[in-house]
Amino acid sequence: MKRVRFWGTRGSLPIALTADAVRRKLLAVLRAARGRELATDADVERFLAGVPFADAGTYGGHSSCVQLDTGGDDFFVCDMGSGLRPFGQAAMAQRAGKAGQTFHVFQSHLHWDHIMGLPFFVPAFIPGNRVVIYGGHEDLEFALRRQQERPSFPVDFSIFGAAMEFVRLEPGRVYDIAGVRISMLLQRHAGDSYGYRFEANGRTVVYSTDSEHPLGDAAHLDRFVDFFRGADLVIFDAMYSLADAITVKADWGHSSNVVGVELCQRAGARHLCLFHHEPVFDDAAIDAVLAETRRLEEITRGGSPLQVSAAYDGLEIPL
Amino acid sequence: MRPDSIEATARAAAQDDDEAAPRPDGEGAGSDSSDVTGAGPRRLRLPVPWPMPRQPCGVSYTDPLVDSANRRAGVTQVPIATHRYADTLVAMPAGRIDHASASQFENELLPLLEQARDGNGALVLDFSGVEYISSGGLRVLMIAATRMRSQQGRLLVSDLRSVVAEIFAISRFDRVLTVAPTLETALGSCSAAALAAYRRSTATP
Repeated sequence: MKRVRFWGTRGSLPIALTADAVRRKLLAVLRAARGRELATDADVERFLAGVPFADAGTYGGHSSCVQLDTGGDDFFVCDMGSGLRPFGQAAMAQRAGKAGQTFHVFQSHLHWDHIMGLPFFVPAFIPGNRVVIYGGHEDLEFALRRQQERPSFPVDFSIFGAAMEFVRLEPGRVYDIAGVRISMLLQRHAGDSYGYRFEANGRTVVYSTDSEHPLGDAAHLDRFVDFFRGADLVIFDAMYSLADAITVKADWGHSSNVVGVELCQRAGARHLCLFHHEPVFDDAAIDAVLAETRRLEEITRGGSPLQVSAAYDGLEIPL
Repeated sequence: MRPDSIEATARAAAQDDDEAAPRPDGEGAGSDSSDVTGAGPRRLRLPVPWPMPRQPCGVSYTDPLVDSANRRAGVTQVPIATHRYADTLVAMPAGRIDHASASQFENELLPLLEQARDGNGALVLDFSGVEYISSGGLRVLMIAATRMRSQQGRLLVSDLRSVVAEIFAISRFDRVLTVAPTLETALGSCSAAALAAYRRSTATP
């Protein structure tokens, strides 16, 4: 396992920057630039490196799609949210449009925001490619075919030129797929969801999104601690604040940054990546959540430090 | 300064634990290893929960083996002393409310909600002795606050240590619970009689 790249990090619904939001960013950057010597491009780059990410960048708006670079020839992807579209374009470019590519896709579940990218996934239209979709849901194939039926979409699933395969996995079993050791865990979410643990070349990545944690259920929490145990990276659903997650948004199937820190600390994980951002949060709000989460990790640290990041579309994390 | 009676109550709750308080080098805790394995009849003893020593940086984790042994032995990990100021009940939990002790904290706290009915319906949690609270502990506070509302009462939390105050802010619990800076402020918002009783108890002769 070499690195993880995020193509879609937003929860529930893709979003886009508005003209007003872009203008606010420009204003913030230009104000910060007052009085600075920015004569060369290098000066500008140095200056921008010191500007807060919420002003000089954006967390992006694509829904869930995460690529795992295992170091092998096959592509590994978690979820087919709207981020699958740019991933597909990048994969085509990387292999110069050549057919014969294999894509292993691991579905957390089948809700709209996690499957909506498939109809726009260019490699699936290329004869000679192979797309293997794994999941724990009985209706995995049905859900993906149905979203492309009339009147919801004009291009039927049968148009795909690639070999489309479906493989149902079971929690509690360990699979070897293209040299990667994979296990899954049932998660609490409407209609169920599944987390995945990927292990290869001495590195471990856990993908655990759309997962609510009942805090009064010690056995449930212990299962997740075991699942996260020693992971180099845990991609974690941190959509809500803890207060929201257990009050007005209880049973909505999501978790919080606080629980992410606690589970990772107990599990001895190395890096927590906040994921599935609330679509109503702007970049400044996510920046604030990240800063608070890092502070929480600092003041509750009992052992080795836990690195904390917030995923954004385009983020690469080396392993 | 707190009334002697409160401190005495809290010390009584922790009485068993005083002798075996581990030294910083961990020697004291190690002497109870036979209890951890269940080989001896003695109860596992915990560090002195009152007053709680502040950690120099961050907070430490409780040994899960010790937690497990404590639960089996029924040892109270988060003792809650209580005191009544006129018509208002004050509860003073002490220690770490973490994933291992949250359920025990719940079992200790929830019966106090009934006792709060005897007065003006308010329960104040003086958190000055709480050094850490996890999401599981915050969940217990939310259950308590919800039940208090359903019985037309109020739950207030006061005297948060800096670490706990930060946890409240980061989790947004400072927005869903009533947090008072001091016990005096909390009691003042409950009743004039409670505030007067508190001031009498803290007045210098």
